[in-house]
Amino acid sequence: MNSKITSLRILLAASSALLPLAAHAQEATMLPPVETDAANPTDSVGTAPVTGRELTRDDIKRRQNSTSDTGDLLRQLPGVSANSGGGFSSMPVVRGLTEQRLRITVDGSPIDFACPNDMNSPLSYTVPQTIQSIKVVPGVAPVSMGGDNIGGVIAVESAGPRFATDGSTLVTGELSTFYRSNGDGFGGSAQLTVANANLSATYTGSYTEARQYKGGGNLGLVRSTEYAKTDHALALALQTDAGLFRLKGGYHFSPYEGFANQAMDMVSNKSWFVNAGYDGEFDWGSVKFTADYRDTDHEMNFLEDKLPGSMPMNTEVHTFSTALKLDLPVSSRDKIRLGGEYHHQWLNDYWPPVAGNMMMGPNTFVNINGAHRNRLGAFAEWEAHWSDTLSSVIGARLDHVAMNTGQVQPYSTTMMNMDDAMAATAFNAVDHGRTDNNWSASALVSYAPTEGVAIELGYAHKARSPNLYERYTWGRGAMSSRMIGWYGDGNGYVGDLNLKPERADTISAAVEFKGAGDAWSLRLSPYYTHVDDYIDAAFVRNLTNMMGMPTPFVQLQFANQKAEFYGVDLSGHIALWNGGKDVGTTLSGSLSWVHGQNLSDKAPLYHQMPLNVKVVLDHRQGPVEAGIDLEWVAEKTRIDLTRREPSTSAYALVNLRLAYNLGPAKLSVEAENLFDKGYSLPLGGVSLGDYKTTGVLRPVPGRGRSINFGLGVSF
Amino acid sequence: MLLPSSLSGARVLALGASAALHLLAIATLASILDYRSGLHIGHSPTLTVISLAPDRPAVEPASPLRPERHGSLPERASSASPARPIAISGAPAESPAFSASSAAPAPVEAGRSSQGAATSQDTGPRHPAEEPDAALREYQAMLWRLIDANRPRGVNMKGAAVILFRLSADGTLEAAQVSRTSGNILLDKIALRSVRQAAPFPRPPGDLSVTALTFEIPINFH
Repeated sequence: MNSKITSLRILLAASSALLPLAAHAQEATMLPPVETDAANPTDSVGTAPVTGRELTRDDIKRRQNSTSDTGDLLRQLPGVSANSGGGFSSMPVVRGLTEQRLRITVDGSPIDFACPNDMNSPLSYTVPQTIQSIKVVPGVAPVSMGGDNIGGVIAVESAGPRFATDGSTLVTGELSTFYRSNGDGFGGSAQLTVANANLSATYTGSYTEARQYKGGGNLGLVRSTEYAKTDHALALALQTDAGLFRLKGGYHFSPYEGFANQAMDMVSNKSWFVNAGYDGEFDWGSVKFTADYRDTDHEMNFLEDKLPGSMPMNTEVHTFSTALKLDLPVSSRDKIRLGGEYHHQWLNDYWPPVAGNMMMGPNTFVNINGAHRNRLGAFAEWEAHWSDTLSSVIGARLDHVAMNTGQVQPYSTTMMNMDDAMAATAFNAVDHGRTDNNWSASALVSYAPTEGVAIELGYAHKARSPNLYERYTWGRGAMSSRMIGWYGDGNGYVGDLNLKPERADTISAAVEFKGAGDAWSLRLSPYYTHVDDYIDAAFVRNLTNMMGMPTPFVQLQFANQKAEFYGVDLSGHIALWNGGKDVGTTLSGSLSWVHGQNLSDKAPLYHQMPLNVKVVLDHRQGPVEAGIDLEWVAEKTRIDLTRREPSTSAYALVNLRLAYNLGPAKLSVEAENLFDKGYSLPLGGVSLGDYKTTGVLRPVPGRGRSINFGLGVSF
Repeated sequence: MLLPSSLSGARVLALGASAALHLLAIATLASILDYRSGLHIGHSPTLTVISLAPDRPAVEPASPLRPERHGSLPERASSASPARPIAISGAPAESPAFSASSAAPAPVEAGRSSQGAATSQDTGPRHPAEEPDAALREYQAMLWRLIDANRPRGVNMKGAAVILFRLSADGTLEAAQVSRTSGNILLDKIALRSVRQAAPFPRPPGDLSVTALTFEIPINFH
């Protein structure tokens, strides 16, 4: 019966093209419209589940003057925090799970981080001013959203292609510029779209630069926090009856970026990329194809605050990925998604010798020798809409990961490099090839009993393979092991060839209530994640300096342990007063609490964000927008003693915002950290830039008071 | 100060030239495909008159793929509310009315008789009597429900397309095309697919002309 109907449908679809109808248009009976809403919770369970959150262009606009760091922007969402890196390189954390455990995509293409210090984290290639939306879906994300992650997906999207709809040529764009008093930060961005009905071209460009910033109170200058970068991209799109074709190319250059919590700074990062995509809609379903290539050259050394000295380090990365996704609506109730993707990463990490230095030479230190990490993934997913109130999406996925690397070499084999020399010999004596077959599955059920209520329950089993550094970093010397810096703790890390992939089981729920006409909303989302073979670190030895004196740092080796995370995210808003269009007052707030525990040593995990509460009051009166932000963060007492993690005190911050809309322009001024409160960042790591100059080890301070100005024009 | 002195400038130029050449090739290919495609949006096709001989074959058994539907029409909520309203039992008069004949593009208001009498349709020896019109309205409501059950879900793009389609006397879909484009070809095709997947529809009541079996339905993406 089903096959008869299917073949009949195919026949009809084929024959219907032969019978034009336009002559009957004026005599046709008009039926009422069918409305489809992307925000409908049960309809969108497969692409935008209630468990996920989205940061819209308006949310981003409110904060784009105060930060050039997209990772920092994401902290507006409950459950999302950021581990500090450089001025534009924060690494996001979702519900306690850090960046390595997340899948971060920019315009659909996954980006790998390219250096042992995670300096060019994927979000460092984006600029708040040019982002259209950021979608964050935690651990129970449907398998079609991406593999090789246990903590979820962060999808950054720039504006989609726009076409002219009225026959004329569309010219539209946005210009913006900003200045921040703390650190003398300034920059600008431009976005321009020129399009006709079928062809669209968009140019995006930006530049930003800042000096070191000052901490609040009497915390003083925070060293190694300066940065500069520029990004340019051109995106072309062609829409035809055969489908939508997209081509985008871009270039990123950063001449310097200081990293307060790492031993090294970045002194040059050049990256160019090409993305191609095809979207097609047919009677039998949708097709989405993407192919991307990115080439990154990354150099590290010391900027002014970490001088004297020189230790050049170079990393080259090439990544290629391609993906094909098919959406097949097989009935009014069911949709099947099938997809496959291939992701290739090649990485070369070597440190040239330093002339005249007894230890760092005469050979090149080969850290990672032409390693590759290739991943082939395939998934199948079934989305069912049982009724107008109940939907489900269930899927399974397999990712095959193959890694290998070449032989390594220390600076020398003299006594000064004995630890490294012995480690290199041991590493070179064994085979380095590793393959993993990681199974993942995810099930979500979404129920919306009445208008304004949505309940979603999810369970997922996800797995991710170690990254190249977790497996292949081999140096046992104090200095070489400390080059793994992404934890920001100053400690040294040694890889483990025999690390197993992490496997996580997550259950989460999300309940959302919305009042009529956006009058109020409330959202509650509890979750629990248990991770087997969680890659944490085990103590190896205390690190001493060149003279044999003890240092505050230790050497650790990556090891599979067990961990669990549980917590709750709460958010909501109330429209206190609605005076009509563009007039009103809204109070919104959020609360996040996460508890991360290492079950193997029965101690807290590293860098778990303490309880934090945000309250925002927004007022709009015609062209004037005003707002007050209040953020309160509890003290961080659950600390990882293995890593000698410092505790931080509780603090409260107040921001004041004012903006004026004048036609197409918007002028804004903001007082960030109005009371110049001195505080330490719970996830900031330790301030190594300050330590090298002052000899005092302290947690990285947060930003002191800053007056930020912004000017934007849309046309 | 920022532009590197390496040969990256030449690289970018070469990249741009290559991209332009590729795009030219794609555009040429696409225009050839467009010419060959059957869907001529914006062109005015020739009039094709098809006479349907009244035919009463055996009743087609209900498709197991059709969702269970309540007997009466779903409440049409305002477009401001994002949630899908639940189908409730209620008097047909509360719902958007379906008229026996059509006015032009504007959606039909409640109260069919005001429009029904003036614009006549060649339905043969049919009077605008209560029963046949009520049956026709029920049929149109059923069409709407079937298309709504196959509505596009989780589409992130915004726009509005109008689909024009014609049924044969036994309810099969004879033709469907986009009568007003949303400006986004992908959205148009998604809208078209929704109507095509809702077919085949149940038998229309009684003897209806080709005109009475031609419908237009807007599909709005929010």
